[in-house]
Amino acid sequence: MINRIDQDEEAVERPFDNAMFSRLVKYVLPYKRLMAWAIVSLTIGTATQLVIPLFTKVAIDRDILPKHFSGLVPLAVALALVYGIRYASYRAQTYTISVLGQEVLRDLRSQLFHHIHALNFTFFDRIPAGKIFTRILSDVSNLNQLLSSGLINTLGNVLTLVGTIVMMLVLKPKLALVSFMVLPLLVILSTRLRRRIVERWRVVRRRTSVINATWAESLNGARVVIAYGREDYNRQHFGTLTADNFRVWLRAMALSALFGPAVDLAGTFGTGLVFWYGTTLYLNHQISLGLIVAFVSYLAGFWEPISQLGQFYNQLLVAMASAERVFEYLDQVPQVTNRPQATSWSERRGHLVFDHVTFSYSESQPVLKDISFEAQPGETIALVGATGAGKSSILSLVPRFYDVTGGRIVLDGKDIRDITVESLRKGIALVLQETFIFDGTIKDNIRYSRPDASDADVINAAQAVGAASFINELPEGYDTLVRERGSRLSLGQRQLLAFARAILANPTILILDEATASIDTSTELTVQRGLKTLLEHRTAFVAAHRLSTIREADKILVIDHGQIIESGQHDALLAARGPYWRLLSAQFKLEQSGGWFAG
Amino acid sequence: MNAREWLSHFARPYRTDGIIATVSSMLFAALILAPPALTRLLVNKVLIGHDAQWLWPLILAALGFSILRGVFMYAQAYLSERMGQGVLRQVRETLYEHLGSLSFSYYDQVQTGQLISRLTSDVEWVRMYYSNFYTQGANVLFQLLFVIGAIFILDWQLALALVLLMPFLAWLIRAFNVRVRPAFRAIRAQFAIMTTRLNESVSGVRVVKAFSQEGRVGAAFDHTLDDLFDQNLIATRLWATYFPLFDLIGGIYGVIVFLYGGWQAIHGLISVGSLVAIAAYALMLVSPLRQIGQVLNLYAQSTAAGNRLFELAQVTPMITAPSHHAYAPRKVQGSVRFDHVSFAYPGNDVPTLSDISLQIQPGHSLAVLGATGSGKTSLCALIPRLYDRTQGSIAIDGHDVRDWDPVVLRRNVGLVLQETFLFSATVFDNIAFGRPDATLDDVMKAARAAHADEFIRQLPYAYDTVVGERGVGLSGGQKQRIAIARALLIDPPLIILDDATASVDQETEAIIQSAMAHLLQGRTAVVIAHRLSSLKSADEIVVLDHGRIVERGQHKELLAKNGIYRNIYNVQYRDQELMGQKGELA
Repeated sequence: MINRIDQDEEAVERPFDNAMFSRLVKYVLPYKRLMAWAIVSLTIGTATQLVIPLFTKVAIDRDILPKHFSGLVPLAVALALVYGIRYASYRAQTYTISVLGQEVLRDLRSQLFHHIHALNFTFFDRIPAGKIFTRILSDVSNLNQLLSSGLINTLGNVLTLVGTIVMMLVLKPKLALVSFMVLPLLVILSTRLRRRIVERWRVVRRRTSVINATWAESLNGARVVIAYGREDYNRQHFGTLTADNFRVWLRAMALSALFGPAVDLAGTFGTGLVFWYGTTLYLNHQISLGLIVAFVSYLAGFWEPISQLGQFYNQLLVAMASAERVFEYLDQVPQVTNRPQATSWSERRGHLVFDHVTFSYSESQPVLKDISFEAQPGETIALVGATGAGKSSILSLVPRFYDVTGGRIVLDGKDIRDITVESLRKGIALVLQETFIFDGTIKDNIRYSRPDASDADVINAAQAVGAASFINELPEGYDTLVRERGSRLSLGQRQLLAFARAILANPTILILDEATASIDTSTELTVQRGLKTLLEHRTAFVAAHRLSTIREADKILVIDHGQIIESGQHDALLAARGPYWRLLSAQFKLEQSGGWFAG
Repeated sequence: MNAREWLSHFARPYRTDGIIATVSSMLFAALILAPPALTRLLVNKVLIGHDAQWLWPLILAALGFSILRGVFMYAQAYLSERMGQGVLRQVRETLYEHLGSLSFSYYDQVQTGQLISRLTSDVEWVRMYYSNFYTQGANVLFQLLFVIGAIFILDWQLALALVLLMPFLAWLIRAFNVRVRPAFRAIRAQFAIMTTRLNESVSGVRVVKAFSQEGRVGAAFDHTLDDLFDQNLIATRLWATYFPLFDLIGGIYGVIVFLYGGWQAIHGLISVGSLVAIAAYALMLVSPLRQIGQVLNLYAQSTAAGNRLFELAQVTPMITAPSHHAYAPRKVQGSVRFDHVSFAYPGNDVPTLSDISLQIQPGHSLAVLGATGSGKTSLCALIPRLYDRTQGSIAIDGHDVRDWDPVVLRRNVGLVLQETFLFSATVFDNIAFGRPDATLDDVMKAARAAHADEFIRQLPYAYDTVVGERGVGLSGGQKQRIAIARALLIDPPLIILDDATASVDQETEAIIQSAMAHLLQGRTAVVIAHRLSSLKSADEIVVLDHGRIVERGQHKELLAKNGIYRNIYNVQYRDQELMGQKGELA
C-alpha cells in the first residue's frame, strides 16, 4: 500500500496559455491605481540604480584625478539625494506590490469560496473536500505570487537589463559590445543549467510530498496500523522512502551547488573582458579611468535580473497549472440558482406534489422515472425499497440539492424552482445518515440551523429529541467542545445532535434519510418519542428500513429502480399482497435467519 | 538527555561534513575580498601606472580566485546539505517508528491534522538548521570581520567611520525583528483561523447548504479574509519601512566613502585604486548585517522546532511489549477471559467499563449489546490490547494480554472497527493491509467472503482502483465490506466485529452475514450489533449498560428474563412477529 500514493499527483506545471494568462491579469485590473504607483516607483527605483555608477565615473574623472575637491561636494549631495529618492521609491514599491498581492489573494479566495458554495451537490459528490481545500489555499497563493510580485518584478528586471545595456552602449559602444560577450554565457546558465536543476528539484518535491502524504496517512490511519500490527512493515517502507529522498536531494544539490560557482566564473570572465579591452582603450586614450570602474559595476548588475527572469519563467509554468485548476472550479456553473421571477416561500403549509418527475445525475442513466405523488400538509410519507432504488434521490430533490430533469415539484402551489433557494431550504430540515460535526461547542452545533436561537431554545430542542441526557453527562454539558475528527461522540450521539439541529430550525418539511440507521435500539427508544414531536404538524419524508417507523406513515411509497411501484397505507398494502408485502416478508425472513452465527 | 543532545546524536556521523563545510565557508568569506583588491591593482598599476605587464596576471588571478571560490562554495553547500539531509532522514525515521509505537489513547487525544502539519514543518526547520546555520553563521561572521579588516588595512580612518555606523545598523535590525515577529505570529494565527474555517465549511458543505447557511458562512469567511488582509498589511508596512532602510544605509556608506575617501585620494593620502576598492568593500558590509537577522531567526525557530520534536520523541508508549519472554505462540487457540476488568480512558475519572467478567471458549461467540456509549467498543478494544485495562485481568489462551508480544497478538485478532479508515491506496493494498504478501487470489477470496468482490469489479480499475481520500469515493457500506475483507484475509483465530454492518442495508447485511457464518465457524468471535437478528444465535449475549454487564445469557434465556433485552426485542420485532403469527407475511 501507500507506495502508490503518488499516482494521482496533479500536474505541477503547464505550458504557457495566452487566454488563461489574460484571464488571470483581469484580477489585477481593479487595482489600476496601485498598479500605476507600483510601476512608477519601480521605474524611478531602476533609474536611480542605473545612475549611481555614473557618479563614480564623474567623481573619478572630473574631481579626484584632477584633484578638485570643490566639485566633489555638490556631487556627494546629489548622490545623497539620489539615494534618498531611491529609498522612497523602494519603499513605495515594496508596499504597493505587497498590498496589491494581498488584495488579489483575498479576491480570489473569496470568489472561489462563494462560487464553490453556490455549486450543487453533483460537484461535491465528485470532488473530495481535501482537493477543494488545497485549491483555495495553495493554488491561489501560487497565482497571487505570479500576479503581484512576479509580474511587476519581471517588469523591473526587464527595465534594469535594458537600461544597463543602453547606458553601457551610450557610454562606450565598443567596450559595451565586448562586455556583452559574456551575456550568452549568463543566458545559457540561467536557462540550460537552471532547467536541469529545476527538474531535479521537481523530483525532490514530488518525493517529499510522497513522504509527507505517507506520514499523514500513517497517522490518520494509525488505529488500523496498530490493530493489524503493521508497524514494522510500514517502518521499512518509510525507510526506503527516506533513503530515496536523501539520494534525490543530494543529487539535486550536487547540480544545484554548481550554479553559484558557475555564475561567479561567468561574471569574472566579464570583468576580465572589461579589464582587458578597457585597458587597451584606456592606454590609447579612448576612455577614462572612471568609465572602466563604472563598467565593472554595471556588469556586476547584469546577473541578478537575468537570473530572476529565468525564475519567472518557472513561476509562470507553475502558475499556469494552478490557474487551470482554479478556473476549472470557477467555470463550474451553479445549476441550482434562483430564477429571476423567483419569490420567497412565504405561506408555508407544506403541501408538496411530485408531478411526473424524472431525474438523472448524468445524462446516460436515469435515476428516477416518472415519479408522481402528493403529500398533504402534516402528512408523513415513508419511502421504502432496496438500497439504490432511488429513495435518497427523491429526498434530495425536495430542498433542491439537485434540480429535476423532467416534470416538476410543486410546493404550496408553486414550482419549487420559482421559490428562492434560501427561503425554500429555511423551511426544510433534513437529517442524513452521517452527521457532520463542526468545530465548536455542542450548543454551537445544535444552533447551526438557526444561529439566532437562544440557549433555552437549544436546550429545549435537545430535550425534545432525547439528546439532553447524554449532553448533560458530558464534562461541560452544552459547552463541551466537539470537533469533526477526534471527538469521542458516537455515531448515535452525532445523530441525536442532528435531530436537535433539525427541530430547532422549526421546519415545515422534515426529511429523514435513513436517519436512525446507526442509532442503537435503546437510544432509538428515546429518539422515537422525540421523533413523534419532530413529525407533528409537519410534512415529513422518511426513508427507513424499520417497520416501526414505516407503519405509522400516512402514505407509503414503494420504490424500485427509480419508480413508484406501489403506494398506500400499511394495512391496505399488506392486504394487497403486492411488492410491499413481499418486501416485508423478505425482511421477516432475514430476521429469522441466523445473523453472524449459523444458528 | 535534552533536545540538543538528542539532535546532535543524529548529526554525529556527519561531523566531518559539518567541519569541512564550515571551514569552507570561512575560506569563501576570505576569497570574496579578491575582486576589489584586483580592481585596485588594475587602477593603480595598470591604468594610473601605465604598466600593461600587470594586466594578464591580474585577469588570470581573477579567474583563479573565482575557481577557488567556486570550490569552497560548492563544498560548503553540498557538505552542509548532506549533513542536514542525514539528520533529517534519521529524525524522520526515528519519529515515524516512535509514532508507530504509540497506542490508541495517544491518537485519541491528538488532532492528527495539526500533528501532521507541525511535524512536516518542524523537521524542515531542523534540516535547515544543520544545512544552513553553521555555514551561514560562519559566512556572516567572517565576511564582516574580513571586510572590515580589509578596509582597515587600506584606510583605517574611513574604516572607523564606517564601523561607527554599525551599532546603529544593528539596532535597526533588532528593532525590525522585534516588531516584525509578533506581526508574523499574528498572521500565522489568523491564517490558521482561515484554514480551519475553510476546511470546515468545505467538509461540511452539505449541512451548510441544507440549512441554507451559505450566506452566513461566506460572510464569516470574508471576514477572516479581511482580518488576514489587515494583519498582512501591518507586516507589509513594517517591511516597507525597514527593508529599504538597509539599502539606505548602504547609500550612506557610499556617500561617506565618496566624500571622505575622495578627499583623501585628492590629497594623496590613499590611492585612487584603494578608493575604488573601499567603495566596493563598503557595499559588502550591508548584506551580512542583514543576514544576521535571518541566522538568529533560523536559530530560534529551529531550536523551538527541535524541542517540539524531542518532546514528541519522549512521549512514552503506553503499551509496550513485555521486556522479556514475550508470549508469541505459533498457533493461537482463541480463548478469551475477562476477570473483573475495569477500564477508564486516560485522563478520565469515570470508568468506561466496570467489573467485567467473561469467558469465551475457542471457537465460541460472544455478542455485545448496549446503548450508545455503554462501553461496547471499549470492551472490544481491550482484547487486542489497544488499551490497557485499569483493573482486573484479560487473558487470551490463558496468558495475560500484557505478557503477549503485542504484534503477534494483534495479527491473530481480526478487527473491524466501527469507523472504517481506508488508505489512499488501491483496493488490493487496502485489503492486503494486514498481509502485504497476499496474492490477488487470496485478496479476491477474502473480498468474495465479505461480499465486496462484486462492487470492486465494477470500479474503474477493479482491484487496482485507488480509494481513500485521494481516490474514488466509496459508500459507507462498501468501505465496511473492504474492512471486513481486510480482517478475513489475515485468517485470524479471533475476530472482532464492531458494528461492522452499520452502514449497509439489511439485505446486504444478511448476505454478508450468511456468507461469513461458515467463516466464523471455528473462530472465536466477538460481535457488536444493534439488530438482534444479527446476534441472537451467539453462544453468549451480554447486555452492557453504563459499562456494566446487566444481562447475559442466550437469546431464549434473555427473552424469558423480561429485561432490557426483551424490551429491545419488542421494539424491533414485535410488529413482524405479530404479523408473522397472523400469517400476514409469508
